[in-house]
Amino acid sequence: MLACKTENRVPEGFYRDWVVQELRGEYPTLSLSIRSERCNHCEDAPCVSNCPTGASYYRGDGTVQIDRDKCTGCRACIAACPYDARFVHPDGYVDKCTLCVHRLDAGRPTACEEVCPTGAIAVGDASDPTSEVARRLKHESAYVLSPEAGTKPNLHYVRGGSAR
Amino acid sequence: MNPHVEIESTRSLAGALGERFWGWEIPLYLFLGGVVAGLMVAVSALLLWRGKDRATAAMRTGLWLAPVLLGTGMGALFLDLSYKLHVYRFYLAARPSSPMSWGSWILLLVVPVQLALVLALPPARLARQLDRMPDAVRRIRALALRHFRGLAAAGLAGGVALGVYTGILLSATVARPLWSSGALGPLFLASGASTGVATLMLFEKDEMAHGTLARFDIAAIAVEVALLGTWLIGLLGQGPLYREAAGVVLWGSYAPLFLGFVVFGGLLVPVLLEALALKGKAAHSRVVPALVLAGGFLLRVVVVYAGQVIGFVRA
Repeated sequence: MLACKTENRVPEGFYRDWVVQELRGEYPTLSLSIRSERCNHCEDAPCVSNCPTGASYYRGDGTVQIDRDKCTGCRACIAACPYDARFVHPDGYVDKCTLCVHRLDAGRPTACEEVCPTGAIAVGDASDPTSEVARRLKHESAYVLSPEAGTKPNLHYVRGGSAR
Repeated sequence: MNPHVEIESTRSLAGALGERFWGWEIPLYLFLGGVVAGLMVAVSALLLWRGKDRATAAMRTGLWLAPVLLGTGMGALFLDLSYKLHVYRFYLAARPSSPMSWGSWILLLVVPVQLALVLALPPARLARQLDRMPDAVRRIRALALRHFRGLAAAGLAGGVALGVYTGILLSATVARPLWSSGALGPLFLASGASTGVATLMLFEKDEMAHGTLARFDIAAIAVEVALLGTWLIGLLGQGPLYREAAGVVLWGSYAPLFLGFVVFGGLLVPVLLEALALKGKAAHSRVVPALVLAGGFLLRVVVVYAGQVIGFVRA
């Protein structure tokens, strides 16, 4: 979170990523999961289909991006995002996680991936069977958030910490 | 049974989640858009049916009110934009998947039709000024009069397009359970028809025409009540999240406003008063259309605000 805020100069009070703590069940069968959440870069993203100006778009590499020059700040995309991943930047345009595309383009890992001390975050091409992401996705506990929203999210989680 | 779940996040703890993203501007715009759609449909249909020579003063008033109210609504939409300098971007793109894009183009096409209809059937005060207006205006008026039936048909189509678009704007977003219903579009369309007719009733002095409008309004309100039921009963049967979303308006924080002012004060009371007036047991008054209009506005406020209370994300 701090790396993201620093890397992307996210203003005070706004978040491109955040950490969720979820406690499930009744004592003594309790389970606790902690996960880092952000834009799910959905394959069928309602923020893109609802954007009236084309400011929200698929970059072609599996990420969803925002063209600030086209954004009017109408917030149709915020209304459409089931993950509440977007916010209005104080400068007027809508902002969210870009998956640090500026770093990916330079061949560097995302800021969150680089600083994560336990290697819990992996960013990459899931269609490449030799990639770390593809290897982790083979784990039976891999899941996505709010699948009922039907947006085909590209952000996956693996339970249990045994994926490495 | 659903397991017990406690969930919190760094952003929910910081109070950065659950803030309302659409304020008063959107319900005001949706209300005015609905009223204008209803006005355009009702007046255009009456003009096509009875002919322009039998246009009443109230119909002429409805014609010039349409662009005034729509302009006010568009002003509210403009105020809502957080990047106002980029407003022109709506007209550099046509995106079929976006109801808002459809809407911006529909608005652009509807306003000239409305203005041409006003020139063809101007209110008395404007009619007196026509001789002093530039040649171009008089030429447009002559053209509008020559193709009047086509223009009225365009007004009818424009009204329907406007009503449908304001209706599906919310339901096209998949992320808000309260808005996830196909009934919401027709509901706003029926409410727009009812409030448009109520606006005409405010100005109609002819007793017979008033009766016709009241009958139409009762029918529109009956459809609206049926659609309200379809919308909320449908949500109650869809699952826990949707039931919780419907609960916000049925027994939650917006229930008093919804049940008291929208359903009772804005639909049931006016329909009862209209029925009594049609039976000759009460006089036609401006109280009925005023209640319908207030109820129509509050319906948009409740739907837009309450829809933002429950989302898929909890933290």
